[in-house]
Amino acid sequence: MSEASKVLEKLADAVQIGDPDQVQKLSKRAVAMKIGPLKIIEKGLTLGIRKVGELFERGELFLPDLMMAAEATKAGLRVLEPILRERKETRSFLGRFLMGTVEGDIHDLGKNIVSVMLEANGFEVIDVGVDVPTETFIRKAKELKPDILGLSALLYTTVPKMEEVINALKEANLRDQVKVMVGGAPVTQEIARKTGADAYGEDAISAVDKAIKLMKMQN
Amino acid sequence: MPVQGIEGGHLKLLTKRDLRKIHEATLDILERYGVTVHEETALRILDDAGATVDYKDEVAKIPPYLVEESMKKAPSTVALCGRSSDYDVILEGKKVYTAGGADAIYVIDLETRERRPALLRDLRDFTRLQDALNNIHVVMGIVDPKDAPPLGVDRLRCYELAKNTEKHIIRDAQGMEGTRDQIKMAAAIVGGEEELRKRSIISFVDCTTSPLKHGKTNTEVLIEASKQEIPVIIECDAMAGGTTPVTLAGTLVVQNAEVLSGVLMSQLVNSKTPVIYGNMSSIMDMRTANIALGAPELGLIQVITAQLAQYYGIPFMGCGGMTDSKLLDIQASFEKTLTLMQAALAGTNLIHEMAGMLDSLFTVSYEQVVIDNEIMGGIYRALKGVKVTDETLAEDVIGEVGPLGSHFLAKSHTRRFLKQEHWMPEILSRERRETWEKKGSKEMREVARETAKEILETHWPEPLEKDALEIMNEIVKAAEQQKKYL
Repeated sequence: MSEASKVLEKLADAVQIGDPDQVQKLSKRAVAMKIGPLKIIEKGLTLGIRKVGELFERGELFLPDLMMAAEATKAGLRVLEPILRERKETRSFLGRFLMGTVEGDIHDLGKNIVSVMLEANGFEVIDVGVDVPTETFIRKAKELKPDILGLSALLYTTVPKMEEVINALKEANLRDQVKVMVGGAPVTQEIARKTGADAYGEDAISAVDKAIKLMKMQN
Repeated sequence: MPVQGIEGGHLKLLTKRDLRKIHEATLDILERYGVTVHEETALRILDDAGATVDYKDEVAKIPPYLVEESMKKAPSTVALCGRSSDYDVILEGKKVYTAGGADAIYVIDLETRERRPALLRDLRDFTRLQDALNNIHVVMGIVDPKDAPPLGVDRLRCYELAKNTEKHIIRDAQGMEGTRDQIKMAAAIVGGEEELRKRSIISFVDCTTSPLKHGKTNTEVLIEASKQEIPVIIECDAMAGGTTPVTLAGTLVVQNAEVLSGVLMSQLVNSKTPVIYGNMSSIMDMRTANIALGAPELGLIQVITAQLAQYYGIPFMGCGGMTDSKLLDIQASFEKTLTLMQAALAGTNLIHEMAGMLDSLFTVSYEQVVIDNEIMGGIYRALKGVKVTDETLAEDVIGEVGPLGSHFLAKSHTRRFLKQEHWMPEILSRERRETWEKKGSKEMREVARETAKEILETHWPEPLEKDALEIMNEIVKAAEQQKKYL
């Protein structure tokens, strides 16, 4: 095995273990070895977090393992992204996902878990936070042109806000440009249909599956 | 490394004074009325030691000092070793371990789900299944196979058990010969009788007969095992209201008299023999005349017997996780969890009959073995309690996340403490309804069934050496050729 593959393999391992310091060190070493940043991301970071995702789905790893691996991936990206910008290269993503918790709700655990899983699976995730007013979703959708908008809620009382956002998208003539996904503890398939969303994930894994399917439908 | 035991003993029902009263009443009964011992060698041993023996009625009246001395001398720690030392179980203090089911005559077939007579292949499969499950530490002859020859069935069961598990096996025996043969079989596995005495992979049960009787066959087992220094469990199976007084305190006195006189006989034969206080006592159901094995009273008897054994400083094999329900149903779950929890909180060193048993021990189910293993996992977590240290109070990590943070999932503290703080169930459903529906809306029994099948397809314990198998086989064959039963 070449020196380059060895470093990338170690990098993937460090992501898997969830060691951000080691990930940064190895990312820098890979850069010093003149491996292109895109390749480092693809063959190192992404490979590592995909593996963690697979083990999580099989029940062999748990949420903290996944979240720590995600943190480690981000630590690696902090090293690599400035270099990408310098070289005027851009990562190719599966899709752009705009994500937020609807107004009236400050719960973000589920949203954050889904965001991490989406990133691990090759999405570019832009998280607009919690308690997000409908107008903000609309403004951001116009500005960032996401492929998918994800609306999250934990409180049953804030579910109508999801419908409000979707209606506002229609009014702004954006509805046919962006797919909408809803999710969170009170959301069921039935509720998802009522709000007018395109898809719904009952848990983080299914949310990612659905997002990937939506992207395939678009292309 | 031996199996790591988890401490019980949180639950105590009697004061020291109450325990002493039970002890004194026991001594009084043994001295004034004595016990019947239908075995002459044992009677002579008791006679020689200072008991008053009536050979015609076969009753021995035992002076208190004999009993008290023997209880003081009995070892406080007993090692039940496995073929592999990873399965060694050290019974001591309030550590809680488990032993699987014993002696069912019917099984619920894994394929047809119908009840049918237990067969030899069930003995093999159930033993392998228990070998694979983490919360079952010691294995017993879980079924009495209908297709086995009646003569020497104890040796045959011993053979099948030893082949299909690496865990310690507890055995019954057809008298002295049966005990001797099975000790020879175990010795063949570990490389000789000397080696076996050091690390016994086998132990024997001597069941007393209430009220106040030691039967011939069981006493022979007791004496032979004691001679050879193989661990022996003296187990009382009282039925309060039937074979013992209706009051639980009175039942405990009779039970104690039977077990203590058994310990004495064992100690008189060989004071180095490890003895275990055993019981499967409960109440007689006065509507049906059956023993009630899922009863809360059985649990109460476990708690108090554990206290008594701790008072004497000898290990205790109790029971729990049985049910009188005929089905894998709500009654089964209720009775099993209740009595297992009682036995575990008592600090019962070995909870036997905890895996798979239904129908007042007549029937055993593969799925239920898997379910009971899961129940025990939850109970172990409950026993472990909560540890309060600077690290578990977690001020540092609380500060790191703080009021502005979102979650603790990506903190190394979370991952570090996860496995010791949170129990991970293996077959319970905790997914969302829709996920569960997608997976086929399975009832726990269905998941347990799949798990059992998977284990039986894939799990094979380390095979025995050819030489050992040959010796064992010869013993089994010879026992089948005996002229008469026993």
